[in-house]
Amino acid sequence: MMYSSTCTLQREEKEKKEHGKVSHIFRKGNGSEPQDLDPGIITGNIESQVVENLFEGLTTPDLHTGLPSPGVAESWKPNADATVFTFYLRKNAVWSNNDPVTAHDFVYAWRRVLNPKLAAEYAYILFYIKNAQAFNSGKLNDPEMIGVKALDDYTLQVQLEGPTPFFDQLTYFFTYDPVHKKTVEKYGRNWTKPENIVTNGAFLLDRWLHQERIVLKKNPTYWDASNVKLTTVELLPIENLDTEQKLFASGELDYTKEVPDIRIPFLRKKPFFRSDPFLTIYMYRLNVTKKPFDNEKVRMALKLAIDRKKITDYIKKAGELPAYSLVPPGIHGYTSPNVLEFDVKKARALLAEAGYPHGKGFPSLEILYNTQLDHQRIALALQDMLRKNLNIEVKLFNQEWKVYLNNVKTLNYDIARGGWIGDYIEPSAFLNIFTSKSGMNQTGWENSEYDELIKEAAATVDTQVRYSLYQKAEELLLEKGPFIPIYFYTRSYLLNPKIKGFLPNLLDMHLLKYVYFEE
Amino acid sequence: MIRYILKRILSTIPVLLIIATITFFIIRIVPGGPFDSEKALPPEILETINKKYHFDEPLYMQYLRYIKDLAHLDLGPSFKYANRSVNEIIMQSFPVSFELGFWALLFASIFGIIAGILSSLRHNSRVDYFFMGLATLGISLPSFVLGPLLVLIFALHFNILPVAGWSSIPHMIMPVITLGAMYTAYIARLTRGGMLEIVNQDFIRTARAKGLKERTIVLRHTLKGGLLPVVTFLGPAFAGIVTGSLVVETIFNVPGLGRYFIQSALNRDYTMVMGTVLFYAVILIFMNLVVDIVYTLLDPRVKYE
Amino acid sequence: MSSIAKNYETIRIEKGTSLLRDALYRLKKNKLALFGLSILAIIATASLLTPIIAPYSYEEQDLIYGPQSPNKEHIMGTDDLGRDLFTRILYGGRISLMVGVLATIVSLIIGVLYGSIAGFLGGRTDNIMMRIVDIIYSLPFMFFVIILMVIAGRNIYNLFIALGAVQWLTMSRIIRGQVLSLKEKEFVLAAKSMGVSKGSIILRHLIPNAMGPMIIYSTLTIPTVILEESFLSFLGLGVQPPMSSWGLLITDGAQVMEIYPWMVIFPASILALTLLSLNFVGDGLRDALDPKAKKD
Repeated sequence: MMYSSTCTLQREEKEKKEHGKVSHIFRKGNGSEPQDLDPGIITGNIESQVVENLFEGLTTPDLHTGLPSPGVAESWKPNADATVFTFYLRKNAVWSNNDPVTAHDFVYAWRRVLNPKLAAEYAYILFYIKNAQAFNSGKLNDPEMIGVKALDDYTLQVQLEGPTPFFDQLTYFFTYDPVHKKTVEKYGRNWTKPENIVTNGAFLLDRWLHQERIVLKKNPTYWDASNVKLTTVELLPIENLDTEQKLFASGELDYTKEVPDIRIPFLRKKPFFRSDPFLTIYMYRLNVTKKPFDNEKVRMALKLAIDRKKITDYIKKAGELPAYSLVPPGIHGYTSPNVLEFDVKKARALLAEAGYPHGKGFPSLEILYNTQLDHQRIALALQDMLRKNLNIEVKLFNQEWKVYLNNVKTLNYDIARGGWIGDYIEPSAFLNIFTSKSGMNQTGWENSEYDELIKEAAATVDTQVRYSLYQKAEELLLEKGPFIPIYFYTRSYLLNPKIKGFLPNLLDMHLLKYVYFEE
Repeated sequence: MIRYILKRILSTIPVLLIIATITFFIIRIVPGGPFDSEKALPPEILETINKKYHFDEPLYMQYLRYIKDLAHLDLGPSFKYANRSVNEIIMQSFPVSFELGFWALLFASIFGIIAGILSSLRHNSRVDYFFMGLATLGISLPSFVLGPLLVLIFALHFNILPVAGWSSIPHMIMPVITLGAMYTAYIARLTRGGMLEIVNQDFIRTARAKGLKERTIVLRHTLKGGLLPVVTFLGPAFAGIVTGSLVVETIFNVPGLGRYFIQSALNRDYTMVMGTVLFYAVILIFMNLVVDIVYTLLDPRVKYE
Repeated sequence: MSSIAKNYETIRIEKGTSLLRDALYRLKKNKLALFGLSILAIIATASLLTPIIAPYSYEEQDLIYGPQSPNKEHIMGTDDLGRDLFTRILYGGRISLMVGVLATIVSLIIGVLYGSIAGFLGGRTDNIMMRIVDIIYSLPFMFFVIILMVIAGRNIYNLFIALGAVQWLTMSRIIRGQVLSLKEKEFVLAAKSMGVSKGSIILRHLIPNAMGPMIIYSTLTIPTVILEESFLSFLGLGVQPPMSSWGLLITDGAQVMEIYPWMVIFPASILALTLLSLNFVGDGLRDALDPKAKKD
């Protein structure tokens, strides 16, 4: 494999050469140009990679466990049924212009996000707060009615719509970050430009060269500045994965946001290859409003006929886990039921029972996916397995992203690729998507028993009882539900081995305040 | 001639209006909108968004609103890049694309025309085969192959050029070559073809018979007529190349305008699509006017009236 | 050429032998063109006979073995899913050649007619016709492709329409440029004064004299179309996997050129070889058809 190493050799050589030389500029690939850096406006991962270092919310994920640890809030406590949270803010948190960060900043920020005039896409992430939804949809006009109050400058009280024991995880979310009122009101749409922006996080926005790089500098006024080791961070919007790989190979990058699947076999054993578990599932939706997936047995036959291990071992290869459930592993105290083991015999029997012995008479179907090589490779494998295991012929159909989204949403498909990233570490982050009313369902599947179980679980405060209810719901979902789980993602990336403090994390949040170069 | 030019410039306004109108409606017909994402938004949020961006109004109202802003040369805010206007984005990224495109086209024109002339003068000789073979290679190696190949050789193997970026002259070398290669090949072939058309014409033979120097013949007579197809090609090519190339800009991570053409379409960033389309149209129409004027210089018999 | 042959040819010309026979005669003398023609013939035959000669199925995967460099069983190696690359190139060639040739013919016919009419009629007509070209040039192509797909569905004919619809534009501008210059020439003026109809001036005098740029631009259009097809596949209009085309094979291969170089080398070389042959034939044809060329 002499060609394989052209790319990686360079880096190794360079590292030898530069051994001992310590740079404090962390150069990070960051996918593409951020749409904005306004925590209330943004929606994506690209933006959050920048914003989570510019702004700090009430809580932040712990470096090692990912569980809530202090941010602007020094401590917090929920009431007995987890419907009221009180946050006690630290007194030494300041904005980059030296104004103190107070509870009023949070009240302002949350009201702003919920204001229908801002039309923030992610306003719904705040809908756990009492009256938030009503205010956002214009049913309530008085912002005072929203369940967030500053009891004093440093005490914030949040009233919730129902029991939400994981609310202190939701506050990681950028949408919950505070913003500086005077700045926002003075500059309007332009407040996030480097010359105007005022932030409270570990880093400052130094320069924003569109499509080229974003430069962050250490924030000397940050309350924990003495523990922040990086002085400069550069985030490069590199859309082309191949270019990103080459920049890493030449030593011009310390971190690549992604690794194309096809390269993984060559990188897997390198010291700079990382693959972390990640709270995300890769699946296929089945349209139950059309034949043949209106039949539960056909759905089950397909679920059983997929050799997931072959996909993870020979196509993905980065250590992904085959998925036999919807909820990924790693949620403390929760285990998913196991009912979908690969079983061709049973699958064939089910298909025969459904009226298609040996796949005879099975309608001609299409697998819909958005155009991307990685998706195509999996769809091809699926096609091959269905042909070999069930004697079913399916065609592949790729579409441009937005057309694909539209077709999935309007149920204009037979089998469609899908995925889901958990917003917080709790089974409901996944199980909620297949309730009848969920906008994410997108399969036409409705099951009142399932809806009831989810509703009951959500209202249950005791974690153990709640999780057993979720388990029951998930079992029902796996047996009757409208989707085929394929695998649980891992986040694969390349990282300069000298970089420390960049630890695996189920939510893929790697705060730069913990990152440093090994001396 | 001046009357003709004035007329052409005036005709630009209805042409742009037609382009704006067709584009406006066609992008609204296509499935998917700027705020569609994998996470389906709750209906009440969609409603507030629709209100804010006037999507709840009838389409013709939105159209009139757009045209009114356009009349003030305001291309509106970008739907995707929330804190920037389309005008701002074009102003920031166009100079980069222009710089890249200008050098690439200059490089392509010089090498392409020289190769084309030499090939046509030594028609069916080894020189001819060499250059035309090279040109074929240039055409069949698309930029998404040539670019990474150059990077592998010059950046990763010999380590003499940076992999990507746009902050110094060394950064510019590979993008310029990658972008210019195909155009060089096109220009070489068109020049050669155009020259061959002319070389055998009577007036050139007469000139030769009169004993004029070969160089004079080439420069004064042949080249003029022979460049006609090249000039025609260069007009739209210039418009296309200075407004940026998606492939080259993404391969070399160049912060140019070219990436926005496809990106804005993929994002359904309506205002940005309109902005890029109209901006391109203005340059294209201007370049085609230049081409038509150059015709009359190359061949005085060409008349438009 | 011997003097006898020379005399013979002069006589033939004077007798007014058909242009075509004459051109064929000259084409036969051009060794490179013949070489190109035979390569093209081989590639075309291989494409026609693909289902018979292909050693493997184009979709058969061998995940466990994954990508293999060229070896005895797979002369061009296999791709990342273990599919035989030679087979895939053969099947891809069927699509790419058909797309390349048909879309180019579509663009040639529209472009030449449109361009020569605009150039010949001139004035207001020319102005309006060329502004229409400007408009089509500027419109965002991608949206039309998506709409075409939504309305008319996906099939190979829509692919030709989509590709041909764009490619004729430059062709028409080039032909118009030639015609603008040609129509003031003596032989056209003479034909006009003799009362020859406009249509037959365009068909008999202008188009044949613009043959050179026409052929050259056509040979340039074919590769553009072949590569453009991969973008349409991205939008979902082109070829659907597991079927492939040269454009798609090269696009995919380019992403892994330093890991699995054979995945880009073979399809790219075959495309280059095809284009080279095409150019030889094109040049030979141009020389052969040139009505002004010296007859020596």
